[in-house]
Amino acid sequence: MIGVGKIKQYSNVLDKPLSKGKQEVSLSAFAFLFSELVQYNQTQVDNIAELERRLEDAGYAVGARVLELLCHRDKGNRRETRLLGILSFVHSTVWKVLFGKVADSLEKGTEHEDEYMISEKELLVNRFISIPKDMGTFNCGAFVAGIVRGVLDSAGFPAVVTAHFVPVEGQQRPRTTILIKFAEEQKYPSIFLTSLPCLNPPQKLGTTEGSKAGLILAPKLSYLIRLNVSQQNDEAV
Amino acid sequence: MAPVGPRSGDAIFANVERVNAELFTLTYGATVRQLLTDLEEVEEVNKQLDQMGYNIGIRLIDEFLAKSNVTRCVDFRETAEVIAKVGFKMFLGVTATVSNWDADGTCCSIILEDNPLVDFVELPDTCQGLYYCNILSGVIRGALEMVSMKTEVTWIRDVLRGDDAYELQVKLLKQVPEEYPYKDDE
Amino acid sequence: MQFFGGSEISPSPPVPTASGNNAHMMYVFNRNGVCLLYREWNRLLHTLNAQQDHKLMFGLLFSLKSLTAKMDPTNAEKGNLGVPQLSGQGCSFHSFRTNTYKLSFMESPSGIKIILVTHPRTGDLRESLKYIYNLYVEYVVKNPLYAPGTPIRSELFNTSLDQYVRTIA
Repeated sequence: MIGVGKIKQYSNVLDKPLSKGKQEVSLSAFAFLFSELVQYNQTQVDNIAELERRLEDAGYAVGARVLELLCHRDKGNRRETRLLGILSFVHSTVWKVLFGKVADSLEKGTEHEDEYMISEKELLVNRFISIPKDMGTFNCGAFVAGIVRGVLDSAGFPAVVTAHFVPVEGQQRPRTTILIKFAEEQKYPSIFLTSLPCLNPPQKLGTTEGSKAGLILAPKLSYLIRLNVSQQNDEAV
Repeated sequence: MAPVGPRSGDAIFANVERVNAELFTLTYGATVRQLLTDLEEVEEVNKQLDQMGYNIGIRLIDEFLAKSNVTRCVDFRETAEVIAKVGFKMFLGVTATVSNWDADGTCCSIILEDNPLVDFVELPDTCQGLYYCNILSGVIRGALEMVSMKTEVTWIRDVLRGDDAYELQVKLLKQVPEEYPYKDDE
Repeated sequence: MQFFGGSEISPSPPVPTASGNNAHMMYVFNRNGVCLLYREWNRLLHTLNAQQDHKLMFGLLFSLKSLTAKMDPTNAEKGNLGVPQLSGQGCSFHSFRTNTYKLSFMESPSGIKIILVTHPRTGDLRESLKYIYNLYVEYVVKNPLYAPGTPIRSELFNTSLDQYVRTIA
């Protein structure tokens, strides 16, 4: 255990009450951090598709944690089990927490079953962006698509999620549409997700994932993720 | 036009657009995870975080200057105070204090009690040696370089490593005057 | 050089244009003298190639700054002419006017220099330059795809700028 004894308020992060999420930082602080995330990832890739995939991965990590955080805080640890329920949860609750507002719209795709679209006139991450011509269809919204995929996946609704610019008539700037395409089996979410009781936190924390990178987790969140797994095992037994 | 004094950090923070700190914290967490996966070595991650901070610093300085009405940064003492009182408040919504000045006024500590980067974070054993918040030292170094101050910024205390606060030591190496950038034969 | 030349030699000042057309051109330089942006709306003559033009403009400002600081009667602490200054040190000039144009200038402590050349009868543009600096911060500095020190290619910035300079009177 790190830091025993010397930390004045809490001997470990678990004893610290989970914040109510009312703290704020300036939008620019986020914008600069996000810019650097994009710039760093640009150095790691050869093409736009790969860049989007890496941003999506980063977003996924955020989304998975956001879900746990919100379930823990707002929903009495009950998770949404219906497809439409989780979609509206993403469109309203998740959006409100992350972006300070409900998303502009949630629509069902007209061409395919199991396709949904969340649209935003001015997505936070696209707020300051100007795409040079040589970057073609690149969309920073891939990060938000990743967040959405992270939330959905962790809630038991795996989906392919992508971000697209859609021109709007009479507007100079296109809106961003997050396209969600659910996998077939999503119509029948597994039962273990119906409710997630809040138990006492386990003693050892932050080791739910094998890779080194996986180890920095929110401990309060990581135990929720673990519970999820153990319940799944119970199902199997 | 009467000269306008610098605005207070609180006043700026109250007026700028803000986002939930969790989006920021989790995005930073995702960034660090990505670096740990890509670079594997904790030392390399520390370096990369510092570099990313530097890159942020050289951009952020203009936002800072534009919003704060600070029109000159010539005196190091004054500048350190402004970073702590206005800079941290305006971007992260937290206040920092400046202390531990050395005799010639070229080295001081910036101390943070609250740090939105670290909510939800505890360093696992495998990440000993990681300066999780190393991005902050880079930001300060980068921003100061843009106002002609070459500095060295190092962590003195880090709550994630068991200390009771976050303390960054900022040491002024030299002030670099602006030079004519072109050679005569160009 | 016609910067301060007599009016009998220089062409007569352009007829005040209809409002919305007062801005001639603009330059943005960074602290290393890199021209991040050059934009023109209403420029009659191009006598130099772009690179020479930018360099001349930067040199003019660099020298003027040095001269104005040297001539400052209120400040005893000044080095010899041409001795490099820290940015923000000494006094600074914000505009000069000739019979054919007005040049307004602002420099941030971070060394970003914005130069706006307008019709000679335009008023005090210090607030306008600040506004443009803010546009630069919003649309260039915060653009995740902008690499600092490289020429600005932001459509968003250019559009906002074009719109804004039309309001300059």
